Order: sequence, then C-alpha cells, then structure tokens
Amino acid sequence: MAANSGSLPRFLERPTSYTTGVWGWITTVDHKKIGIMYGFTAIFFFLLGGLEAVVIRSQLAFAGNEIVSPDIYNQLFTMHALTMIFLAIMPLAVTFFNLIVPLQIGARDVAFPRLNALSYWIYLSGGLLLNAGWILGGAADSGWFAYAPLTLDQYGSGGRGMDFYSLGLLVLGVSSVAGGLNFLVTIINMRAPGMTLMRMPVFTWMAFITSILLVTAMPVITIALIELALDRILGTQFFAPGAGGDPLLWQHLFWVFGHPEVYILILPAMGIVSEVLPTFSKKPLFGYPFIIFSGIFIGFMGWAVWSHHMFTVGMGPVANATFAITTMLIAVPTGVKIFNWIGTMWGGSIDFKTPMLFSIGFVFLFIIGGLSGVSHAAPPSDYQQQDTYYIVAHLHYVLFGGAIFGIFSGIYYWWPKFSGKLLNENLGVIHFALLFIGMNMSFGPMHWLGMDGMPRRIYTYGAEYGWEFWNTVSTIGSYIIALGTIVFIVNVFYTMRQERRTDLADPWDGRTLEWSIPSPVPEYNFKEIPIVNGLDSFWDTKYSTDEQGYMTPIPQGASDDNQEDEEVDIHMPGLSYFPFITGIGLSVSGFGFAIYSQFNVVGLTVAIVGILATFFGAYGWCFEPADPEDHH
Amino acid sequence: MRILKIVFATMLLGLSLACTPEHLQSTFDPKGPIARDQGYLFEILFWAMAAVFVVVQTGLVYTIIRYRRKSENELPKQVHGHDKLEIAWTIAPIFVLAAVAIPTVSMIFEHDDIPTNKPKIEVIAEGYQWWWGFEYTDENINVITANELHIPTDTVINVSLKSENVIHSFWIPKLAGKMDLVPNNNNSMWFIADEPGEYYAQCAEYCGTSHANMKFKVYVHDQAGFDEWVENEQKSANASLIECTSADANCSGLAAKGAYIFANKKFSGVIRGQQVDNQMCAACHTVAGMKIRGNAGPVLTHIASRTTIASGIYDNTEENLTSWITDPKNMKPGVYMPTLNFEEGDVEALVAYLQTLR
Repeated sequence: MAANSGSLPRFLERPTSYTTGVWGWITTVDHKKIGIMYGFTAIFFFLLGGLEAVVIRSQLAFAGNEIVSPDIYNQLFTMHALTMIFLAIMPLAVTFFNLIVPLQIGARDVAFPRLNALSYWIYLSGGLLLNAGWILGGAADSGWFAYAPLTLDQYGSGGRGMDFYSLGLLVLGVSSVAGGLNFLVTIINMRAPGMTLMRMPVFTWMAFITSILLVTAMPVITIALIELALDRILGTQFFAPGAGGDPLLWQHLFWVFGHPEVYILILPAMGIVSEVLPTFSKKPLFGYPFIIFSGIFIGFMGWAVWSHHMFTVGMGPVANATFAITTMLIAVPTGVKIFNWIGTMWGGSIDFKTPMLFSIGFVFLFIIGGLSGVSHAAPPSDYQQQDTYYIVAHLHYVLFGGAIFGIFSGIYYWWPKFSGKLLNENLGVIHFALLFIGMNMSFGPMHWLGMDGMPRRIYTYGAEYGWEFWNTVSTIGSYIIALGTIVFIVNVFYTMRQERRTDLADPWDGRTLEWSIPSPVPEYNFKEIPIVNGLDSFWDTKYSTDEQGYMTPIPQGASDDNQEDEEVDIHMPGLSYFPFITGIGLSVSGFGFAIYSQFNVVGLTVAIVGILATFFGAYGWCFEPADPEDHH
Repeated sequence: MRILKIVFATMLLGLSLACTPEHLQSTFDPKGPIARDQGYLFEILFWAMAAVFVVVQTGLVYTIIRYRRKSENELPKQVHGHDKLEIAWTIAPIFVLAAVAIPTVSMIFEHDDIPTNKPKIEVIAEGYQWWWGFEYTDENINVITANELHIPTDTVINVSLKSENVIHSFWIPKLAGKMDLVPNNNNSMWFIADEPGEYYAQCAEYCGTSHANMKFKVYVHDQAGFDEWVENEQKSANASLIECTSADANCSGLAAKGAYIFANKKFSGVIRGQQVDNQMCAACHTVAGMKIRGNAGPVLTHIASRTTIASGIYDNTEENLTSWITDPKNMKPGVYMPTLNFEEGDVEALVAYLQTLR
C-alpha cells in the first residue's frame, strides 16, 4: 500500500505542518480541538435559539401583540426547538464527550479521530443547512415534531422550510451516528489498564449510554425523514392522507426516535452533575452502582414510552394504559438518581462554587420538571394538558432547568482544564442567579397558563381569556435569562483575556483522571498511560481514609511539574483534509436536494457536486497513509 | 423568615390567580362529568406530587444548608452508599406511583364506555384549515352547522372526529379534555354538559398558519331550548329570498340583491397564491334551499343566528362581516377564502343578505 499511496496526487498527501492557524483547525483530528470547535459552534447556535425564544416571548407578552406575522412566528417556534435540541444541547453534550471522555478513561484520543472530525464538520454545515431556509424562502414551520400531513405543501404555508428540515436533519443524523459509534468504540476499547466498567467515571458511563441511544435512535428518524423528503421532493405518498398515506406512521416513527432523544439530551447533563456534586462535597458519589444502573434503566425504558406523546391521537384504552404505566415507571430510576445526589451531599463539605451552584440548580429544577411530568403520564389528566403551556413549562424545566443547567455546570467545571484559566467566579454567581430567577419566572407561570386553557403554538391570544398577566411575567423572565446569558458571554471574553496560569491542573481537588494531567492538556494527553486501581483512583493518590472513614490527605512528594518541559516523542494521529471535504460535501448535497424543488437545475447540479465531493473525500480518506512519515 | 413570608405570599397569589375558574378556558371549572373526572385525577396527582416535592426539596435545601463548607480544612467521612437506603428509595416511589396509577387506569377504561342511562346525540365534528364543521346525524335532528356547537344538558354527546386535511384537536376545556382529528383515522369521544351556558373551545393541535384562530363555541341549552334551536335550524332560512336566483321584480331590496349575488354573480380572486376565476359565493358556501351546495367553506344557512364569524374570532356584526367579505386574509392570516373583485355595492348587499339568515 505504501507504494500505491506514494503515487497519489500531491493534494491527497497527509498534511503535516499545520498545528496552528485556520488550516490547523480545519485539518485537526485532536479530540480537544474538535471539542472546542463543537463547543463554540454550539454556543453560537444556543444564542441564536435564545434570540428566537426572546422574539417568541415578546410576541406573547401582551394580548393581540403584532411584533411578527403568524407565518414568521410559526417558523420561530419551529426553529427554536430544532436549534436548541439538535444544534445546541446535543452538540454541547458531544462537546463534553470529546473533551472529557478520552481524559477520563486515560486515552490519548478517540478510537477514530478522523471520523470524529467528520462528525463536527457535518454538524457545522448541517446546522447551517437547517437554518438556510431563513434566507431561502422561509425556515421550517411545521413544528420540530413536523406532524404529517401539515408538512406537505398543500397544507403548509407554501414556504420551502420543510425541505431544509428534512435534508438538514438527515445530514445531522449522520453526524450523530458517527459520533455515537466513535464514543462507543472508544469507551469499550480504549480504557486505561485496570479501568473496568464499574470503575468508569459516571460522566463516561452516561456518555456510553447516550452513545448507544444515538446509534439506535437516529436510524428511526432517518427512515421517517427520507420518507418525508421523498414525499416533498419526488411526490411519493407516504404521509398523504388523500392517497391512503398514514399520518400516524410519522408520529410513531418520530416519537420512537423522539423519546430516546429526550434522554440523549438529559443523560449527559446527569453525568456532569454526578461528577460535580462529589467534587464540591469532598465525598465520593453516593450509590455509584445505583446511579449507573438507573441510567441504564432510563436509557432502556426510553424505548418503551414513546406513545405518551400521543395519548390524544386515539390509540385506545389498552395502549394508553400501558404507556401510562411504563412512563410512570421511569420516575423510579429518576428518583433513585436524585436521592443519591442528595445522599452525596449529605455529610459533605459543600463548596458553593459556580459549577456546584448550577448542579444544585439542576437537581432542584429537574425535580420540578420530573414531578410535573407525572401529571401528564396519566392520560385522562393529560387530555387537559396535552398541547397546552403546561407541557411547555414541563419540558423547559427538564431541558432548560435540567440539561442547560447541567451543561453550564460542566462549562464552569472543565473550562480551566482546556484553557488554563478560571471563569470569573463573581460573574459566574450572577450568571447563575439570573438564570435561576429568570427560568422560574419564565417557565413557572406557564404551568398555570396551561391549566387555564392556553394552547401551545398560538401566535396570538385575546385579552378576554385572562392570560395576559402571566404571559407578561413570563416574558420578563425570558429577558432575565437573556441578561444572564449576556453575563456569561462577558465572562467568557473577560476570562479569555486573562493570563494563562500554570497552577490549574487540579483547581477543584478533582477525583477523575483528567485532573491528573496539566492544564491546558498537552496534545498527547497522558505522557504515560495511567494504571487504574479503583473508582476515583486519582483521588486515592491524594487522600486515604482513616479507620472511621474520614478522609486524610496523603503527603505529596515534590511536584513533578518540571518534567513537563521534557522532550516527549509520542505518536499522535496525523492531520487530514478529508473529514472536512467529506462532511462539507455531504451538506452541500443535502443543500442541493433541499433547493431542488425551487431551482431544479441548480439544485441538481449542487447535489451532484456535493455527492462527488463526499465520494472524493471518502476515497482520499481510505487511501490516506496512516502516518505522514510513510511517504518519506 | 421575612423572605419565607414573601415566598409564601407570592405562591398564594400565584395559586389564587392561577385557579381562576371564571376564565373562559380554565380547566379548574369543569361543567361536565368528563372534565370533572379529569380535573379530579389531576388533583390526586397534584397533591401526591406536591407532597413528594415538599419532602425531596426540603431534604435538598436542608442538606446544602447544613453541610455547607464552614472551613477549608474540613475532611468529611467518605461514604460510598447504603444498600438498605437504596432499596427503600427505590421501593417508596413505586408505592406512590401505584397509588396514582390505579385511579388513572380505571378512569381510562371507565371513560371508554358510553353511559347507556342517558339520551345520546351523535355529532360529526370535522376539522378544516381553520374552522369547524358540525353535523348532527340523528334522524330527528339532521342539522349541519359550523363553528358553533349547540347541545342539550344531561345528554351524552358522542362526537365523531374527522379531518381530510391536517391533524386538529377538539378541545372544550370546561367540558372535556382533547381528542385529535387525524386524517384516515377517525376518532370519537363523548361528554356530557351539566348546565346551560356558553363554553369556549379551541383547536389544540398545531395545524398551520392560523392555528391560533381556529376556535369554536359550545352553547348548552336545556332540552326545550335545544329543541327550539333544532327546529329553527331545520328550516331553510329566509326561503323567499333563496328563490331570487334571477333579478326578478318580486325580489327587490338590498338583501334580495345580495341573495342573487350570492348564488349567481361570478368573481375572480386569488387564494393562497393561486388564481380562481368565475366562482360565486355559493360555490364554496351552502345556504340550505339553494340549488348549488358548495362545501369548501362553512355552511351559512343560519349565519345570522351565530354570535361569531370566522370560527369564533370576531363578533358577528355588520362591520366585521363587511371587513371579512372584503378582505378575509386581512382578518385571518393564511385563510383559504379568496379576496374577490367585488363591484361597488356587492359587499353591502351580501352583508344585508347574510344578516337575514336567522
């Protein structure tokens, strides 16, 4: 093969020299650099989705408000959900998978570094594709759940947004499956010697379960999206009722994906919280195996509850009763997790640093979201709540109070590991306070609005319904959230301008392996692959316990930091152009198909160019020499 | 303590403002057994969850206050778990859930059976973008109307839910929780109203541009009032004017001119970007008694007896009717009714005619 690759054209050679600059980022296969790109891109989309939310709330602030037209409003709530779910929360979780999992298991990179880069480039370009509708004839406007047959042109607003929806999500699905497979293989195969599954940090465990869900759930929505794209672009009749198509087929496919998706969003945040609470309580996680197994049980049960999104479609009493009971069952492992988190803090020495505040906030708000969920797990009660603001309240307590708080906790917790700088603590506390107050003010009143009969997804309401007061309160709450987010952004810029410190290898007195190496993490992560002797084995190098079980510091020898400057020759995977070419090509082809109904020839041309680029990228990828030195 | 008092005061204010039964679509003011049972189940769930909330959040808040770091040198006891506790807090929620699952499941099956000890009326509710059609199929009633559902008290209303376009959801918060209208999957639901009154209702499933404008009203009458309503509906309204299919001398007056225009005069216009030519009002709207019976838009046979137009979003006044006919898309975004090329006086005549259809 070496001879063959030697005869390849010059541009297929593996780049060696880009370690900095734009090309350094484009060709990188380093899990840390990819993680950082994931993080910043996801924060950008988080701000975009937040902006959409602020416009939505402004429209609803007063009865009969006319800030945006109904069609724009419908695009806004659709894109808000899509952006937050697929372009903000999921990628932020993947950011932490990238940054943390290899470090927590003592590996030098993920199993497939180039596949990892491909996931990112597809995510970035797919996210732009999903949003392209804003400038090309309207963004998606059938709701993120896109119930058939509203997705067909004759019933919709006439915009082309749903083409960008179907193609955009298809492309993003490739990124998710590739990422999920990558982390599954990484976690199964690349753990440091001695790290058995039951010695694995909880965050890595949750990443593992989430990856299984990603790999298994995304294909389901892929089937549905291909059928939708075919219906819209080639005129097939999968969901067209006039031709005997079945709208309920879409709902089942969507929610069989959609409910595991909910756990894809929340399990990583639960993992983060399970790391932060012990660290800032100076205690090991209470009931480690129970937290792990309840996570597995939640992931598994995620497949058995999808029809609770469909209690009102007329499935009949047997199906509704069955799904009511399976749904209620999920409260058991969720409760176990919450009790164990409280048990972790009980008897500890709790330090209210910003990461800890967000984690405690997560537990507090997730309890509310979980409990309100039980009230629509019961179908007769749900008949009054389905599609009302009560559900909007519930889901935001789980996804904002839950997932987003968990993610912010992780951002504050792990920021120093990759930058050598601590996010400002005062600004962090203000950020937390504003988010906590704003979130309760924004989403709390929605419970009452829902029970007061206010449906979801209405762009206006009359003053006579009596919904105005709490809507105004909710809108003010959303502005407070926006203010809190601005404080966070200020904090990021403020911190980036600070001097890099060398004493931040282990700023929180951490327990897991990532804190055993310098901050920022060297390219090769671990100079020597660590040997793992137990759960929290890094903690065990710092502390032991006396006879009563109280922790006792172990006197540390002289710092071995001076070894850092030593020349180390560790073989790392080479850079590559091909993930970038393949990923962008895939989205370009998606873009071509998405605009096909508007601009036939141009669309087809673009699609063909994209497919050729993808094949070229994959071809070059296959024949790329494993090591740049092979050439010479 | 002062903070606690403020918190409690806010919570009480919230609850009292939230449980506002006088609000038009409040679910806290059930006026029939179905909505009452559903509210009852919600209350069971609410208090069970409220109890769990208080216990768990108190535990959380107590823990973080009691075990806050008091000095940097604290070295807490390293506890890895407690098997008996784990078993206890795995089993305890199961009991709570069983306690709410039992009434849940029994109510699901109970509501599946239509009571046989009460009279029953069959209604087909059909969802359109964005209005409601109602058809009473019992032989002794046999009425078709739109956007306002009239029913008697203490009678089982068995609603068949149909749609040939997108999915809608039929929801009368004070009478019954919702059920979806799914194309190719006909559903049904039943409910009973306790007392006469006017009830607000609204489509609950997102159905496109004017989803927010797809409302309807339910008028509950005593039996006599209902019979009276049925009797009026069964007549073809203002029969003499319906005969005015040509401009003959007997049919003078503005309303008669309107009737003629309604049935005969052809207009052109644009519907959602598509040109429509040579159509009269009757091509889309039925007025019972006329030869042409269009069914693309709501039945107008007794339009003047309705309190609202445009599926519950405007009062049925001369002014609103005029604006509606002149430019419907301005009154209801996305509407399928075209803006037509009326001549001077056409709209005035049509409004005059429609107002005679009592």
